[in-house]
Amino acid sequence: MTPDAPTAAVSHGALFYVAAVNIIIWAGLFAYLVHLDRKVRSAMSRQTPEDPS
Amino acid sequence: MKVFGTLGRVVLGVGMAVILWGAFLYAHPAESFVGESSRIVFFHVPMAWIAALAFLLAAGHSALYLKTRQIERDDAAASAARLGILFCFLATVTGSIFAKVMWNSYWNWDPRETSIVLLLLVYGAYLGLRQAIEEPERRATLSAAYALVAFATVPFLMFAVPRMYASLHPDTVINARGKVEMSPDIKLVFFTSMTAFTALFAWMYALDVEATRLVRRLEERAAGGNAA
Amino acid sequence: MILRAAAAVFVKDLRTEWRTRVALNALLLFAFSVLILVGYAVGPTRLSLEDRPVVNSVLLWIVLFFSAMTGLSRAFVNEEETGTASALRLSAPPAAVFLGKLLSNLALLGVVMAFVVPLFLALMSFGIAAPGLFLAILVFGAIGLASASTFIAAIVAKTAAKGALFAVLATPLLLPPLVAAVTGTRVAATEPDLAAGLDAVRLLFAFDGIMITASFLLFDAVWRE
Repeated sequence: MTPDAPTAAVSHGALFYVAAVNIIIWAGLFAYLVHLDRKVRSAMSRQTPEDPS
Repeated sequence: MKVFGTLGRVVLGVGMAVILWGAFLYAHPAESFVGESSRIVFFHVPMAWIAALAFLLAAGHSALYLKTRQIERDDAAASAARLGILFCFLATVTGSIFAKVMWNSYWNWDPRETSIVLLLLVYGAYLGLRQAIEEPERRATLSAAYALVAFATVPFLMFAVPRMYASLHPDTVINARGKVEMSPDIKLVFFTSMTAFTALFAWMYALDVEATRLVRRLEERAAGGNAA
Repeated sequence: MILRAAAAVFVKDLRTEWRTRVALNALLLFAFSVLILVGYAVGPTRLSLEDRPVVNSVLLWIVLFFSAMTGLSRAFVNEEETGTASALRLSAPPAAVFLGKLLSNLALLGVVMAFVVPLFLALMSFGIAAPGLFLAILVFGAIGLASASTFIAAIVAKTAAKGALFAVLATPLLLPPLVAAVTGTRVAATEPDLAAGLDAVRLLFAFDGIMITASFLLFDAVWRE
Protein backbone atom coordinates (compact mmCIF):
# COMPACT_ATOMS: atom_id res chain seq x y z
CA MET A 1 0.00 0.00 0.00
CA THR A 2 2.86 2.33 0.70
CA PRO A 3 5.38 1.52 -1.98
CA ASP A 4 7.78 4.24 -0.88
CA ALA A 5 7.86 3.15 2.76
CA PRO A 6 11.17 1.52 3.52
CA THR A 7 10.73 -2.20 4.13
CA ALA A 8 13.13 -2.06 7.05
CA ALA A 9 10.64 0.13 8.88
CA VAL A 10 8.42 -2.88 9.56
CA SER A 11 10.94 -4.30 11.97
CA HIS A 12 10.87 -1.25 14.20
CA GLY A 13 7.76 -1.58 16.26
CA ALA A 14 6.60 2.05 16.23
CA LEU A 15 5.27 1.42 19.74
CA PHE A 16 6.99 4.61 20.78
CA TYR A 17 4.62 6.53 18.55
CA VAL A 18 1.57 4.68 19.82
CA ALA A 19 2.62 5.57 23.36
CA ALA A 20 3.17 9.19 22.34
CA VAL A 21 -0.35 9.32 20.90
CA ASN A 22 -1.74 8.07 24.19
CA ILE A 23 0.25 10.47 26.31
CA ILE A 24 -0.86 13.41 24.18
CA ILE A 25 -4.52 12.40 24.32
CA TRP A 26 -4.59 11.86 28.06
CA ALA A 27 -2.57 14.99 28.74
CA GLY A 28 -4.98 16.95 26.56
CA LEU A 29 -8.05 15.61 28.32
CA PHE A 30 -6.45 16.23 31.71
CA ALA A 31 -5.49 19.78 30.78
CA TYR A 32 -9.07 20.41 29.80
CA LEU A 33 -10.37 19.19 33.13
CA VAL A 34 -7.83 21.39 34.92
CA HIS A 35 -9.04 24.34 32.85
CA LEU A 36 -12.63 23.58 33.83
CA ASP A 37 -11.69 23.29 37.48
CA ARG A 38 -9.90 26.63 37.41
CA LYS A 39 -12.82 28.30 35.69
CA VAL A 40 -15.24 27.27 38.40
CA ARG A 41 -12.81 28.02 41.20
CA SER A 42 -12.01 31.53 39.96
CA ALA A 43 -15.72 32.28 39.61
CA MET A 44 -16.24 31.08 43.16
CA SER A 45 -13.37 33.12 44.61
CA ARG A 46 -14.63 36.23 42.84
CA GLN A 47 -17.95 35.53 44.47
CA THR A 48 -16.76 35.18 48.10
CA PRO A 49 -15.77 38.79 48.99
CA GLU A 50 -19.18 40.08 47.96
CA ASP A 51 -21.08 37.32 49.68
CA PRO A 52 -19.71 36.58 53.15
CA SER A 53 -22.13 33.67 53.81
CA MET B 1 -27.97 17.62 38.28
CA LYS B 2 -25.85 14.53 38.80
CA VAL B 3 -23.69 14.33 35.71
CA PHE B 4 -22.71 10.68 35.73
CA GLY B 5 -23.60 8.31 38.56
CA THR B 6 -20.86 6.67 40.61
CA LEU B 7 -21.54 3.40 38.83
CA GLY B 8 -21.28 5.11 35.45
CA ARG B 9 -17.93 6.62 36.31
CA VAL B 10 -16.57 3.30 37.60
CA VAL B 11 -17.73 1.52 34.45
CA LEU B 12 -16.16 4.26 32.30
CA GLY B 13 -12.85 4.07 34.19
CA VAL B 14 -12.65 0.29 34.01
CA GLY B 15 -13.72 0.40 30.37
CA MET B 16 -10.91 2.81 29.52
CA ALA B 17 -8.40 0.53 31.22
CA VAL B 18 -9.78 -2.46 29.28
CA ILE B 19 -9.44 -0.52 26.03
CA LEU B 20 -5.83 0.33 26.78
CA TRP B 21 -5.20 -3.35 27.42
CA GLY B 22 -7.09 -4.36 24.27
CA ALA B 23 -5.39 -1.78 22.09
CA PHE B 24 -1.86 -2.66 23.18
CA LEU B 25 -2.06 -6.36 24.04
CA TYR B 26 -5.20 -8.01 22.64
CA ALA B 27 -5.51 -6.71 19.08
CA HIS B 28 -2.96 -7.81 16.53
CA PRO B 29 -1.23 -5.16 14.46
CA ALA B 30 -2.94 -4.85 11.09
CA GLU B 31 -1.11 -5.76 7.93
CA SER B 32 -0.30 -2.96 5.52
CA PHE B 33 0.51 -0.71 8.46
CA VAL B 34 4.07 0.05 9.45
CA GLY B 35 4.98 -1.96 12.53
CA GLU B 36 2.54 -1.52 15.38
CA SER B 37 1.22 1.78 14.09
CA SER B 38 -2.28 0.37 13.48
CA ARG B 39 -2.79 0.66 17.23
CA ILE B 40 -2.88 4.44 16.82
CA VAL B 41 -6.17 4.00 14.98
CA PHE B 42 -7.90 2.97 18.22
CA PHE B 43 -7.15 6.39 19.67
CA HIS B 44 -6.95 8.69 16.69
CA VAL B 45 -10.24 7.85 14.98
CA PRO B 46 -12.40 8.34 18.12
CA MET B 47 -10.86 11.82 18.53
CA ALA B 48 -11.86 12.80 14.99
CA TRP B 49 -15.32 11.27 15.37
CA ILE B 50 -15.92 13.09 18.66
CA ALA B 51 -14.74 16.37 17.16
CA ALA B 52 -17.30 15.97 14.37
CA LEU B 53 -19.98 15.05 16.91
CA ALA B 54 -19.13 18.07 19.07
CA PHE B 55 -19.28 20.49 16.14
CA LEU B 56 -22.62 18.99 15.12
CA LEU B 57 -23.87 19.54 18.68
CA ALA B 58 -22.60 23.12 18.61
CA ALA B 59 -24.46 23.82 15.38
CA GLY B 60 -27.63 22.15 16.65
CA HIS B 61 -27.64 24.12 19.89
CA SER B 62 -26.89 27.35 17.99
CA ALA B 63 -29.91 26.78 15.76
CA LEU B 64 -32.05 25.98 18.80
CA TYR B 65 -30.83 29.15 20.50
CA LEU B 66 -31.92 31.30 17.58
CA LYS B 67 -35.30 29.57 17.70
CA THR B 68 -35.98 29.53 21.45
CA ARG B 69 -33.70 32.31 22.75
CA GLN B 70 -32.85 30.27 25.84
CA ILE B 71 -29.41 31.26 27.09
CA GLU B 72 -28.78 27.64 28.21
CA ARG B 73 -28.71 26.67 24.53
CA ASP B 74 -25.92 29.14 23.98
CA ASP B 75 -23.97 27.72 26.93
CA ALA B 76 -24.40 24.24 25.49
CA ALA B 77 -23.21 25.38 22.05
CA ALA B 78 -20.14 27.07 23.52
CA SER B 79 -19.27 24.01 25.60
CA ALA B 80 -19.62 21.76 22.58
CA ALA B 81 -17.43 24.05 20.47
CA ARG B 82 -14.73 24.18 23.16
CA LEU B 83 -14.67 20.41 23.48
CA GLY B 84 -14.80 20.10 19.71
CA ILE B 85 -11.64 22.20 19.44
CA LEU B 86 -9.94 20.07 22.09
CA PHE B 87 -10.74 16.81 20.31
CA CYS B 88 -10.03 18.31 16.91
CA PHE B 89 -6.61 19.38 18.17
CA LEU B 90 -5.96 15.91 19.60
CA ALA B 91 -7.06 14.34 16.31
CA THR B 92 -4.69 16.64 14.43
CA VAL B 93 -1.68 15.87 16.61
CA THR B 94 -2.29 12.12 16.77
CA GLY B 95 -2.94 12.04 13.03
CA SER B 96 0.29 13.87 12.47
CA ILE B 97 2.16 11.27 14.52
CA PHE B 98 0.45 8.53 12.53
CA ALA B 99 1.56 10.24 9.33
CA LYS B 100 5.11 10.29 10.65
CA VAL B 101 5.07 6.53 11.18
CA MET B 102 3.28 5.67 7.95
CA TRP B 103 4.70 8.18 5.50
CA ASN B 104 7.74 9.40 7.37
CA SER B 105 6.62 13.01 7.53
CA TYR B 106 4.64 14.80 10.20
CA TRP B 107 2.83 17.01 7.76
CA ASN B 108 2.28 16.67 4.04
CA TRP B 109 -0.96 18.59 3.39
CA ASP B 110 -2.97 15.49 2.98
CA PRO B 111 -6.62 16.51 2.31
CA ARG B 112 -7.68 15.40 5.76
CA GLU B 113 -4.89 17.31 7.42
CA THR B 114 -5.87 20.40 5.49
CA SER B 115 -9.54 20.20 6.34
CA ILE B 116 -8.96 19.51 10.02
CA VAL B 117 -6.71 22.55 10.35
CA LEU B 118 -9.39 24.68 8.70
CA LEU B 119 -11.92 23.33 11.20
CA LEU B 120 -9.62 24.38 14.04
CA LEU B 121 -9.39 27.87 12.53
CA VAL B 122 -13.14 28.18 12.08
CA TYR B 123 -13.99 27.22 15.64
CA GLY B 124 -11.06 29.17 17.01
CA ALA B 125 -12.58 32.21 15.30
CA TYR B 126 -15.93 31.28 16.87
CA LEU B 127 -14.43 31.37 20.35
CA GLY B 128 -12.61 34.60 19.49
CA LEU B 129 -15.94 36.16 18.55
CA ARG B 130 -17.45 35.02 21.85
CA GLN B 131 -14.63 36.63 23.81
CA ALA B 132 -15.08 39.93 22.00
CA ILE B 133 -18.70 40.45 23.09
CA GLU B 134 -19.58 41.26 26.69
CA GLU B 135 -23.35 41.21 26.63
CA PRO B 136 -24.63 37.61 26.99
CA GLU B 137 -27.64 37.86 24.68
CA ARG B 138 -25.83 39.68 21.92
CA ARG B 139 -22.94 37.24 22.23
CA ALA B 140 -25.33 34.33 21.99
CA THR B 141 -27.11 35.61 18.88
CA LEU B 142 -24.04 36.69 16.95
CA SER B 143 -22.00 33.62 17.75
CA ALA B 144 -24.93 31.33 16.92
CA ALA B 145 -25.23 33.02 13.53
CA TYR B 146 -21.51 32.65 12.92
CA ALA B 147 -21.51 29.03 14.06
CA LEU B 148 -24.26 28.16 11.61
CA VAL B 149 -22.66 29.92 8.65
CA ALA B 150 -19.37 28.28 9.54
CA PHE B 151 -21.10 24.93 9.79
CA ALA B 152 -22.54 25.43 6.31
CA THR B 153 -19.00 25.56 4.93
CA VAL B 154 -17.94 22.36 6.71
CA PRO B 155 -19.03 20.19 3.76
CA PHE B 156 -16.42 22.04 1.71
CA LEU B 157 -13.73 21.22 4.19
CA MET B 158 -14.83 17.62 4.34
CA PHE B 159 -15.46 16.83 0.68
CA ALA B 160 -14.63 19.58 -1.75
CA VAL B 161 -11.18 20.73 -0.64
CA PRO B 162 -9.86 17.15 -0.36
CA ARG B 163 -11.01 16.58 -3.92
CA MET B 164 -9.11 19.64 -5.10
CA TYR B 165 -6.00 18.48 -3.36
CA ALA B 166 -6.29 14.81 -4.24
CA SER B 167 -4.90 15.43 -7.71
CA LEU B 168 -1.67 16.74 -6.23
CA HIS B 169 -1.02 13.81 -3.93
CA PRO B 170 -0.20 10.14 -4.38
CA ASP B 171 -3.18 7.87 -4.01
CA THR B 172 -1.68 5.89 -1.16
CA VAL B 173 -2.01 8.79 1.25
CA ILE B 174 -5.78 8.79 0.93
CA ASN B 175 -6.52 5.14 0.34
CA ALA B 176 -4.35 3.68 3.05
CA ARG B 177 -6.20 5.65 5.66
CA GLY B 178 -9.69 5.65 4.22
CA LYS B 179 -10.29 1.99 3.48
CA VAL B 180 -9.01 -0.30 6.20
CA GLU B 181 -10.10 -3.89 6.19
CA MET B 182 -10.38 -4.89 9.83
CA SER B 183 -9.81 -8.29 11.33
CA PRO B 184 -12.34 -9.31 14.04
CA ASP B 185 -10.10 -8.59 17.04
CA ILE B 186 -9.24 -5.12 15.72
CA LYS B 187 -12.89 -4.46 14.95
CA LEU B 188 -13.91 -5.39 18.49
CA VAL B 189 -11.35 -3.13 20.14
CA PHE B 190 -12.03 -0.35 17.65
CA PHE B 191 -15.76 -0.16 18.25
CA THR B 192 -15.42 -0.57 22.00
CA SER B 193 -12.96 2.28 21.94
CA MET B 194 -15.31 4.44 19.90
CA THR B 195 -18.12 3.78 22.37
CA ALA B 196 -16.00 4.39 25.46
CA PHE B 197 -14.48 7.63 24.16
CA THR B 198 -17.93 8.82 23.15
CA ALA B 199 -19.12 8.12 26.71
CA LEU B 200 -16.07 9.97 28.04
CA PHE B 201 -16.97 12.89 25.81
CA ALA B 202 -20.56 12.80 27.05
CA TRP B 203 -19.28 13.02 30.61
CA MET B 204 -16.89 15.88 29.86
CA TYR B 205 -19.60 17.69 27.94
CA ALA B 206 -22.06 17.39 30.80
CA LEU B 207 -19.36 18.58 33.20
CA ASP B 208 -18.59 21.59 31.02
CA VAL B 209 -22.23 22.55 30.63
CA GLU B 210 -22.71 22.20 34.39
CA ALA B 211 -19.60 24.30 35.11
CA THR B 212 -20.72 27.00 32.68
CA ARG B 213 -24.14 27.11 34.34
CA LEU B 214 -22.50 27.36 37.75
CA VAL B 215 -20.22 30.21 36.68
CA ARG B 216 -23.18 32.04 35.17
CA ARG B 217 -25.18 31.70 38.39
CA LEU B 218 -22.23 32.92 40.48
CA GLU B 219 -21.77 35.90 38.19
CA GLU B 220 -25.44 36.75 38.28
CA ARG B 221 -25.40 36.60 42.06
CA ALA B 222 -22.32 38.81 42.19
CA ALA B 223 -24.00 41.33 39.88
CA GLY B 224 -27.16 41.20 41.98
CA GLY B 225 -25.13 41.73 45.16
CA ASN B 226 -23.45 44.78 43.70
CA ALA B 227 -26.74 46.28 42.64
CA ALA B 228 -28.31 45.87 46.08
CA MET C 1 -40.94 44.45 -3.26
CA ILE C 2 -37.79 43.13 -1.67
CA LEU C 3 -35.91 43.56 -4.91
CA ARG C 4 -36.99 47.18 -5.18
CA ALA C 5 -36.01 47.86 -1.56
CA ALA C 6 -32.68 46.13 -2.16
CA ALA C 7 -32.10 48.28 -5.21
CA ALA C 8 -32.88 51.36 -3.10
CA VAL C 9 -30.31 50.31 -0.47
CA PHE C 10 -27.80 49.62 -3.23
CA VAL C 11 -28.33 53.01 -4.87
CA LYS C 12 -28.17 54.78 -1.50
CA ASP C 13 -24.86 53.06 -0.75
CA LEU C 14 -23.41 53.93 -4.13
CA ARG C 15 -24.46 57.54 -3.68
CA THR C 16 -22.95 57.91 -0.21
CA GLU C 17 -19.81 56.17 -1.39
CA TRP C 18 -19.57 58.41 -4.45
CA ARG C 19 -19.86 61.55 -2.29
CA THR C 20 -16.73 60.76 -0.28
CA ARG C 21 -15.17 57.80 -2.09
CA VAL C 22 -13.42 56.92 1.18
CA ALA C 23 -13.77 53.14 0.86
CA LEU C 24 -13.01 53.11 -2.85
CA ASN C 25 -9.91 55.28 -2.54
CA ALA C 26 -8.62 53.34 0.44
CA LEU C 27 -9.16 50.04 -1.36
CA LEU C 28 -7.54 51.13 -4.60
CA LEU C 29 -4.59 52.72 -2.83
CA PHE C 30 -4.07 49.62 -0.74
CA ALA C 31 -4.35 47.31 -3.73
CA PHE C 32 -1.95 49.48 -5.70
CA SER C 33 0.65 49.51 -2.90
CA VAL C 34 0.52 45.73 -2.60
CA LEU C 35 0.78 45.40 -6.36
CA ILE C 36 3.89 47.60 -6.38
CA LEU C 37 5.38 45.59 -3.55
CA VAL C 38 4.73 42.27 -5.29
CA GLY C 39 5.79 43.57 -8.68
CA TYR C 40 9.02 44.97 -7.30
CA ALA C 41 9.91 42.06 -5.01
CA VAL C 42 8.96 39.19 -7.29
CA GLY C 43 8.68 40.74 -10.71
CA PRO C 44 8.00 38.96 -13.98
CA THR C 45 11.35 37.33 -14.57
CA ARG C 46 12.58 36.24 -11.18
CA LEU C 47 10.52 33.07 -11.22
CA SER C 48 11.33 30.01 -13.27
CA LEU C 49 8.88 29.33 -16.05
CA GLU C 50 7.23 26.35 -14.38
CA ASP C 51 6.80 28.16 -11.04
CA ARG C 52 5.09 31.15 -12.56
CA PRO C 53 1.47 29.91 -12.81
CA VAL C 54 1.43 28.64 -9.21
CA VAL C 55 3.10 31.61 -7.57
CA ASN C 56 1.30 34.21 -9.66
CA SER C 57 -2.15 32.80 -9.03
CA VAL C 58 -1.47 32.68 -5.29
CA LEU C 59 -0.16 36.26 -5.29
CA LEU C 60 -3.10 37.55 -7.32
CA TRP C 61 -5.63 36.11 -4.89
CA ILE C 62 -3.66 37.29 -1.87
CA VAL C 63 -3.82 40.84 -3.22
CA LEU C 64 -7.55 40.52 -3.88
CA PHE C 65 -8.22 38.85 -0.53
CA PHE C 66 -6.42 41.48 1.52
CA SER C 67 -8.06 44.27 -0.43
CA ALA C 68 -11.42 42.73 0.38
CA MET C 69 -10.45 42.46 4.04
CA THR C 70 -9.53 46.13 4.26
CA GLY C 71 -12.53 47.57 2.45
CA LEU C 72 -15.57 45.36 2.70
CA SER C 73 -16.15 45.57 6.45
CA ARG C 74 -17.34 49.16 6.05
CA ALA C 75 -20.73 48.06 4.71
CA PHE C 76 -22.30 47.76 8.15
CA VAL C 77 -19.69 49.29 10.43
CA ASN C 78 -20.43 52.68 8.85
CA GLU C 79 -24.17 52.39 9.40
CA GLU C 80 -23.75 51.44 13.05
CA GLU C 81 -21.17 54.14 13.71
CA THR C 82 -23.10 57.00 12.17
CA GLY C 83 -26.33 55.75 13.73
CA THR C 84 -28.11 55.31 10.42
CA ALA C 85 -28.57 51.59 11.04
CA SER C 86 -31.76 52.03 13.02
CA ALA C 87 -33.28 54.15 10.27
CA LEU C 88 -32.39 51.46 7.77
CA ARG C 89 -33.82 48.83 10.09
CA LEU C 90 -37.18 50.62 10.07
CA SER C 91 -37.34 51.46 6.41
CA ALA C 92 -36.32 48.23 4.69
CA PRO C 93 -36.89 44.50 5.25
CA PRO C 94 -33.76 42.62 6.40
CA ALA C 95 -33.48 40.53 3.25
CA ALA C 96 -33.48 43.70 1.16
CA VAL C 97 -30.78 45.26 3.35
CA PHE C 98 -28.59 42.21 2.97
CA LEU C 99 -29.09 41.99 -0.76
CA GLY C 100 -28.41 45.71 -1.20
CA LYS C 101 -25.26 45.56 0.89
CA LEU C 102 -24.11 42.47 -0.95
CA LEU C 103 -24.57 44.24 -4.27
CA SER C 104 -22.72 47.36 -3.15
CA ASN C 105 -19.84 45.29 -1.79
CA LEU C 106 -19.79 43.35 -5.03
CA ALA C 107 -19.67 46.59 -7.00
CA LEU C 108 -16.78 47.83 -4.86
CA LEU C 109 -14.90 44.58 -5.29
CA GLY C 110 -15.66 44.62 -9.01
CA VAL C 111 -14.05 48.04 -9.40
CA VAL C 112 -11.01 46.90 -7.45
CA MET C 113 -10.72 43.77 -9.56
CA ALA C 114 -11.08 45.70 -12.79
CA PHE C 115 -8.15 47.78 -11.58
CA VAL C 116 -5.98 45.08 -10.00
CA VAL C 117 -6.29 42.15 -12.39
CA PRO C 118 -5.15 43.78 -15.65
CA LEU C 119 -2.38 45.59 -13.82
CA PHE C 120 -1.25 42.38 -12.15
CA LEU C 121 -1.26 40.49 -15.45
CA ALA C 122 0.84 43.24 -17.00
CA LEU C 123 3.25 43.78 -14.10
CA MET C 124 3.98 40.10 -13.70
CA SER C 125 3.63 39.28 -17.42
CA PHE C 126 1.26 36.58 -16.30
CA GLY C 127 -0.26 34.95 -19.36
CA ILE C 128 -3.70 33.35 -19.29
CA ALA C 129 -4.32 30.37 -21.56
CA ALA C 130 -8.06 30.13 -20.95
CA PRO C 131 -9.52 33.65 -20.57
CA GLY C 132 -13.11 32.37 -20.30
CA LEU C 133 -12.27 30.12 -17.39
CA PHE C 134 -10.23 32.89 -15.76
CA LEU C 135 -13.17 35.27 -16.02
CA ALA C 136 -15.57 32.70 -14.52
CA ILE C 137 -13.17 32.10 -11.63
CA LEU C 138 -12.87 35.85 -11.02
CA VAL C 139 -16.64 36.39 -11.06
CA PHE C 140 -17.53 33.48 -8.81
CA GLY C 141 -14.56 34.19 -6.58
CA ALA C 142 -15.70 37.80 -6.19
CA ILE C 143 -19.23 36.69 -5.30
CA GLY C 144 -17.83 34.32 -2.69
CA LEU C 145 -15.56 36.98 -1.19
CA ALA C 146 -18.34 39.57 -1.17
CA SER C 147 -21.08 37.35 0.28
CA ALA C 148 -18.98 36.03 3.14
CA SER C 149 -17.55 39.49 3.90
CA THR C 150 -20.99 41.10 3.87
CA PHE C 151 -22.37 38.65 6.39
CA ILE C 152 -19.31 38.81 8.63
CA ALA C 153 -19.41 42.62 8.42
CA ALA C 154 -22.96 42.54 9.75
CA ILE C 155 -21.81 40.45 12.74
CA VAL C 156 -18.69 42.49 13.36
CA ALA C 157 -20.56 45.82 13.29
CA LYS C 158 -22.35 44.75 16.47
CA THR C 159 -19.14 44.10 18.43
CA ALA C 160 -16.69 46.47 20.06
CA ALA C 161 -13.58 45.18 18.28
CA LYS C 162 -14.94 45.52 14.70
CA GLY C 163 -11.94 45.73 12.36
CA ALA C 164 -9.65 43.34 14.16
CA LEU C 165 -12.37 40.75 14.42
CA PHE C 166 -13.42 41.01 10.80
CA ALA C 167 -10.34 39.34 9.33
CA VAL C 168 -10.27 36.69 12.06
CA LEU C 169 -13.86 35.66 11.37
CA ALA C 170 -13.78 35.93 7.60
CA THR C 171 -10.48 34.20 6.85
CA PRO C 172 -11.38 30.64 7.88
CA LEU C 173 -14.67 30.85 5.98
CA LEU C 174 -12.93 32.13 2.88
CA LEU C 175 -10.08 29.64 2.78
CA PRO C 176 -11.95 26.91 0.85
CA PRO C 177 -13.13 29.24 -1.95
CA LEU C 178 -9.72 30.90 -2.07
CA VAL C 179 -8.02 27.54 -2.48
CA ALA C 180 -10.44 26.74 -5.27
CA ALA C 181 -9.89 30.14 -6.90
CA VAL C 182 -6.11 29.79 -6.77
CA THR C 183 -6.25 26.29 -8.20
CA GLY C 184 -8.65 27.45 -10.91
CA THR C 185 -6.46 30.41 -11.81
CA ARG C 186 -3.42 28.17 -12.09
CA VAL C 187 -5.33 25.83 -14.38
CA ALA C 188 -6.58 28.78 -16.46
CA ALA C 189 -3.01 30.02 -16.82
CA THR C 190 -1.64 26.73 -18.10
CA GLU C 191 -4.42 24.77 -19.82
CA PRO C 192 -6.33 26.26 -22.74
CA ASP C 193 -8.95 23.54 -22.26
CA LEU C 194 -12.00 24.92 -20.42
CA ALA C 195 -13.02 21.57 -18.96
CA ALA C 196 -9.83 21.26 -16.93
CA GLY C 197 -10.89 24.02 -14.55
CA LEU C 198 -14.51 23.00 -14.26
CA ASP C 199 -13.96 21.47 -10.83
CA ALA C 200 -12.82 24.80 -9.39
CA VAL C 201 -15.71 26.70 -10.99
CA ARG C 202 -18.21 24.17 -9.69
CA LEU C 203 -16.76 24.40 -6.19
CA LEU C 204 -16.85 28.19 -6.19
CA PHE C 205 -20.40 28.17 -7.50
CA ALA C 206 -21.51 25.77 -4.77
CA PHE C 207 -19.79 27.84 -2.10
CA ASP C 208 -21.43 31.03 -3.35
CA GLY C 209 -24.83 29.38 -3.34
CA ILE C 210 -24.50 27.96 0.15
CA MET C 211 -22.98 31.13 1.56
CA ILE C 212 -25.71 33.38 0.16
CA THR C 213 -28.51 31.03 1.24
CA ALA C 214 -27.13 30.66 4.76
CA SER C 215 -26.58 34.43 5.03
CA PHE C 216 -30.14 35.16 3.96
CA LEU C 217 -31.52 32.74 6.54
CA LEU C 218 -29.36 34.03 9.38
CA PHE C 219 -29.13 37.73 8.58
CA ASP C 220 -32.49 38.45 10.22
CA ALA C 221 -31.24 37.41 13.65
CA VAL C 222 -27.99 39.38 13.34
CA TRP C 223 -29.59 42.50 11.93
CA ARG C 224 -32.30 42.71 14.60
CA GLU C 225 -29.86 42.14 17.47
